[in-house]
Amino acid sequence: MHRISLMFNEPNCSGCHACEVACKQEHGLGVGPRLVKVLEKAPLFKPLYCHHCEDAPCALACPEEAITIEPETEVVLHNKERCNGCHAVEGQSGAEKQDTSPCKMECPAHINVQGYVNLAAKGKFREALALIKESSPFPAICGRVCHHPCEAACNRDQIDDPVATQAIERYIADLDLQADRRYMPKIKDRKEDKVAIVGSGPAGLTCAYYLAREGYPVTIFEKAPVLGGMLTMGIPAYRLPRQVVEAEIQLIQDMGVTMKTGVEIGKDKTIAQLRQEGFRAFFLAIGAQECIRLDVEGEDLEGVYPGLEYLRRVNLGEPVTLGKKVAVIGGGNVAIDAVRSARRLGAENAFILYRRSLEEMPSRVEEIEECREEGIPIHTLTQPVRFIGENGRVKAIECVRTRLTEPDESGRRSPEPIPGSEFTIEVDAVITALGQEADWSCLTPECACRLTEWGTMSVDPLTLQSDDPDIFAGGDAVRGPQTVIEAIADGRQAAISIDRYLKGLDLRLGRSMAWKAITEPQKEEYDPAARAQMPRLEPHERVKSFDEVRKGFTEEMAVQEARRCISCGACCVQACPYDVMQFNHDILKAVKCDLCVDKRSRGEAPACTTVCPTRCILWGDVATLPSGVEMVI
Amino acid sequence: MEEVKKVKTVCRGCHGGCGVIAHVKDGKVIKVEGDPDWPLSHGTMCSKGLSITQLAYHPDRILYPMKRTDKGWERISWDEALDTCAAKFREVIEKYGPEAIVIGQGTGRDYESHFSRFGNLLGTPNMITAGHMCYLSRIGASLITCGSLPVCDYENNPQCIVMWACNPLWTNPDEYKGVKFWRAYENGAKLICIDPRKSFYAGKADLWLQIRPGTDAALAMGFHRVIIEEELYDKEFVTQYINGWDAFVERVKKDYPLDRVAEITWVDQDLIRQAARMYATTKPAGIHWGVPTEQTLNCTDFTRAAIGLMAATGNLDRPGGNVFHVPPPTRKVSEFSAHTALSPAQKAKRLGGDQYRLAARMTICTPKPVWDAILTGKPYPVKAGLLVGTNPVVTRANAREVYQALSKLDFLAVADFFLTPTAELAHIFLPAGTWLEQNHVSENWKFHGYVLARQKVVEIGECWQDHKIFMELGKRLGQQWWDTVEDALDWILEPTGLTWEEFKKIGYLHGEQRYFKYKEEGFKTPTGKVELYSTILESWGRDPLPKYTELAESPVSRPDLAEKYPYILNAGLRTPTFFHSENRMIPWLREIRPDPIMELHPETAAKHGIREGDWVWIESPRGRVKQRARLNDGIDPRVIVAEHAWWYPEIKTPDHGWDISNINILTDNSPESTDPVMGATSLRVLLCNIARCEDE
Repeated sequence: MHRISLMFNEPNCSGCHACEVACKQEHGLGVGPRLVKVLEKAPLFKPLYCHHCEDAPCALACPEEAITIEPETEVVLHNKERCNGCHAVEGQSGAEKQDTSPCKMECPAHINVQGYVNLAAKGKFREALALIKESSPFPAICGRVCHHPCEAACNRDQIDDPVATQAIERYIADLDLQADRRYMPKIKDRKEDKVAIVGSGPAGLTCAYYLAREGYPVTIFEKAPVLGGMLTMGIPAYRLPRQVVEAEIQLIQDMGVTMKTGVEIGKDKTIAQLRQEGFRAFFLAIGAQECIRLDVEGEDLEGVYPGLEYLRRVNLGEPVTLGKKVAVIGGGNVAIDAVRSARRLGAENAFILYRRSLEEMPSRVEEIEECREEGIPIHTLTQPVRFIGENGRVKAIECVRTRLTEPDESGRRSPEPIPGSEFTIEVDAVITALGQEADWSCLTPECACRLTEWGTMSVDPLTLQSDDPDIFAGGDAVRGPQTVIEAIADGRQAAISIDRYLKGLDLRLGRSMAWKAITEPQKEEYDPAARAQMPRLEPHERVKSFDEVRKGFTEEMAVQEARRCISCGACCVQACPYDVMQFNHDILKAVKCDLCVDKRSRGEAPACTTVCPTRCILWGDVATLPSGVEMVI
Repeated sequence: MEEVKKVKTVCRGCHGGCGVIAHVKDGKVIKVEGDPDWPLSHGTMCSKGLSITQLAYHPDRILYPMKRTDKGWERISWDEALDTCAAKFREVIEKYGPEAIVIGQGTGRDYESHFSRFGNLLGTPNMITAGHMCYLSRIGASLITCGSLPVCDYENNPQCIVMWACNPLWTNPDEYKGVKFWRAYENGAKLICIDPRKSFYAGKADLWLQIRPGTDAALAMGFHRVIIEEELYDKEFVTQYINGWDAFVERVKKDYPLDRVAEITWVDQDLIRQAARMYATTKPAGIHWGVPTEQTLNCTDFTRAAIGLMAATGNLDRPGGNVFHVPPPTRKVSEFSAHTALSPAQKAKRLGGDQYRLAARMTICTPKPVWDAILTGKPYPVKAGLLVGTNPVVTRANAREVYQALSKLDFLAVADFFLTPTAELAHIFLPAGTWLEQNHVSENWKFHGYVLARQKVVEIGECWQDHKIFMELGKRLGQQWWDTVEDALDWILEPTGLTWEEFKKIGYLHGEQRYFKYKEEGFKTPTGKVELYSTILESWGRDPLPKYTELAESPVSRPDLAEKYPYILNAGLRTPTFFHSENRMIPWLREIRPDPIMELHPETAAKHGIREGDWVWIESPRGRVKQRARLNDGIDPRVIVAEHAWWYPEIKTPDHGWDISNINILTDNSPESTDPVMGATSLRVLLCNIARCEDE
């Protein structure tokens, strides 16, 4: 039997809203959720319906099994009896689509964190994984290296401590990595239009994953000899083991994505050539890997390594001569990774020089903490003035003490040297980690795209489209050096844009949603429960090798920790990728279009379809589509 | 409990005509749905029609007659209400003559015939409607040019459709509903869209002409220019059937070179050329035009120039072109209206009648001279009024003047569903029935060749259908009417051989359509031809040929004013949910459109620090109002678009916030801004400035 479904022909929606009112009348609904609704974004319109997704994320996310997929018709049904509104309290939580849980809101990729945590609490790890993969293909990676803004925002801290969502994500993902058959999303019908992605970092790979899922033939061009970008060449193995990255990339290869290493776009091949070869859209995710120079005397001495260059060599197993006393200059994640790697390579006296104070350090708190545990000193308010060499190799650094100015308009405090405070530190090697920028040699003259004065690509922030309509860009190449999860977010948004671009649909419609987090959750019924602590290797063990420091949760820990979640948003409402699952404050339950099941059983068409003057809503068997219907979901 | 009974009837949520099946249970309508077998709408309905149950059973609806007292509104009986009205009117007639009573209607609830009959039998020529700038103005210009209204013939597969300033999928489609257009479009017709906004049609069109608001007549002349220059016209037709073709050609050649047209209209010359060629060479081709073309001082000239296009290309009364539908043989609205009962002496007193000859010919006034007469007593005083289904304080130009004038009447009676800001000014309120509460041979005045049986489904409270209000009040004033509403319907239907009871079982009648009627009968004009050169206008001392006159308030005509008001305000943006000033209290509809929307280009918004959703002041030389911003890169950065007819039923004071967002506080009704023969007011185009509301 074929799927019986509501179908819509989006380009034919004139925005008349008749379907909405017909639906409300039919179901006796007042003001409140609109089960069928027309989104308006001048000058365009888009009808929103339950798409009855296969592997419906709302059903996956529901902790109460109130949403099910009817096996016969594959219709997604919502059971009002079972729905408990995820502990919704009127005016407080479990609210409408825009009032979501802070974990989802704060995640740059808007992963349905509450949803996967709730599924984990019930031991439904595979479903939880599928839900994460709706927004990010890299749970095993993010479960290890994400800066987890979801935890920082967690409402549980109003009771005791935030839920350890990152560790739960990692547990869910690691189970999959070990599984006999790994989770792979269903790939839609093959499409013709070829897409080229430049760069195989998290942004590029994510874009490839979602485009491959849509059925597009995707090719990734990577100029390095290995895949993964910063994941492989930037992050040390003690934080992110190589085999984890390889396994996540392997899945994307298994989905049919072609990956070519050692091909530099702009040099080996140009975008013009790729266009001629039939590539219809491009995603430039080249990262920001060119190290910014300190511009002080002696920077070119032997033994002075640019941070990322150094990490690249270490991570690829190339020899680096360091010695015992190694200074790392900078306060970001690259600096911390560099100094901890140096410690592991035998630099017993590796330390950090940072020109602001600890508070300003952009690195994550737990990284600094682990650094400390490993006995690595961090010298703050210290700025190198010049490198002193001997026989062409660095031997010492002349530094100056700094103090911080009052905050400027942006709230940032700048370091200023204290006159007369100069001093010298003896070193065997120096690693500079002041940040990175992108190398845009891939942009040959046929491209119209522009760069900003910061050297990043100028794109529409919503669609990531550049001045060349077929070229999109994201990740560090656009944002400057940022986090893995932001790169993932861009990769997925680029995939959505490219899919729409290739289908000739509007790129912007329905995408500029303002998120609002629930900040006053219902919390009376929860007793304090301690946050599970991540098991780690002992510090003295850690510094001997590049073995992974954090060992991960056990199943018991993961479930226990997940149960600490107080479900402050309604999962299904958040999980719905089409904004059709809504929260009804009158009944404190989630509601959605139920496809007029009762009418269907009588062979009648739903009210919303019959009134439509342009037949943009249709009803019936998807196998017998009327001609001219371009889009069926 | 009763079983659900299904009653077939006809919607009137806008100008109406869609077939409806109403579900009735225990004497109450519980739902309505589209009638799939209805020839005009094929089962489709719009949000307005679908909300009728929320309108009919709205808690704020007034279900009995009321009088305004010092203590507020007080319920009275129909007898007291009608007796009061009759007594007041008699008093005024005795003292000042019947012309001192103004009667008014809005877009109407299909009671035009009864409205006119009441006025004519009362003896007043002062009847104000929306007709001076909406639909009737189109008919007026058509009658003097080609004898009837030529309607785009969607039934017969037009190969090219010119959608000129119209959105039949959303609003008030008059003859044909949106679904008819859509079917023709889906059948492969080429589409030319003329719209200052990048509308749904613009997105679908082969050619989109983004016109400067209000310059449609110039664009039509530009089309003629191309058609004449490239000899794309139907030579036989222009020689045999057009009066004054040569004079017209001369004018087009002299005054409308394409570069000038492009400069006036902001539309690229090549695009005008392409569009004119596409329209002229794709046969058959139809033009579907809407009210924005009428709500300027070029009202009559635009319709005449457009008819000229249909004529010159041989598309007039040709299947799939613009056709004259043959109506079923009912008695006509004009006969029912008893226009002959109004004496020539009274007709001569029509306010503004000397000036606006075409409006007078269509038996209406443009409102401005009426407001003047109320406010100044000149040329004679107007003292009393009856307004039926109209809310002029938000829908007529220069709303503050309207408010002032209506407030000054000695006596005003209003028939409506709710206490609107206009109704609050009345002394007597008469509760009117919705289309669910009406028996009528409906659409007898339209030009689609149908009459439709709108049958009463329920009665609610003490509400009467408007027809009955006119009849019963008329009888109290000694007028000649029928005993019952249905008796009058029998009289209308008499020539068809049907009674009302029989007709309502059939549902509708369709005239026997014939084409190319002019070949035997000529056109119903003084010369029997399409009068591009109008002998009637000439006899009135007016320019007999169509032309474009620069708008009275534009950056071109008033560069001085444009310094302070640099944007062109395109007022009257339609919504899919509201019919003019109606529906703001309907929960289902207000939820979709909670606030009045003004649209501006993102660049313009940035210049003023305005973001999506901000409240924005819109200001013209006549005042300022506020609406909520929506950014739209599909409009010209020099243009601001704003919705019209907003008031706030939720504000419970008698003003109901009529002056907060009401765009007609900004519009002009001065004679200079008005069509010289029809009196069409410039509801659409004026100069404005904007600023973000800081207090919101």
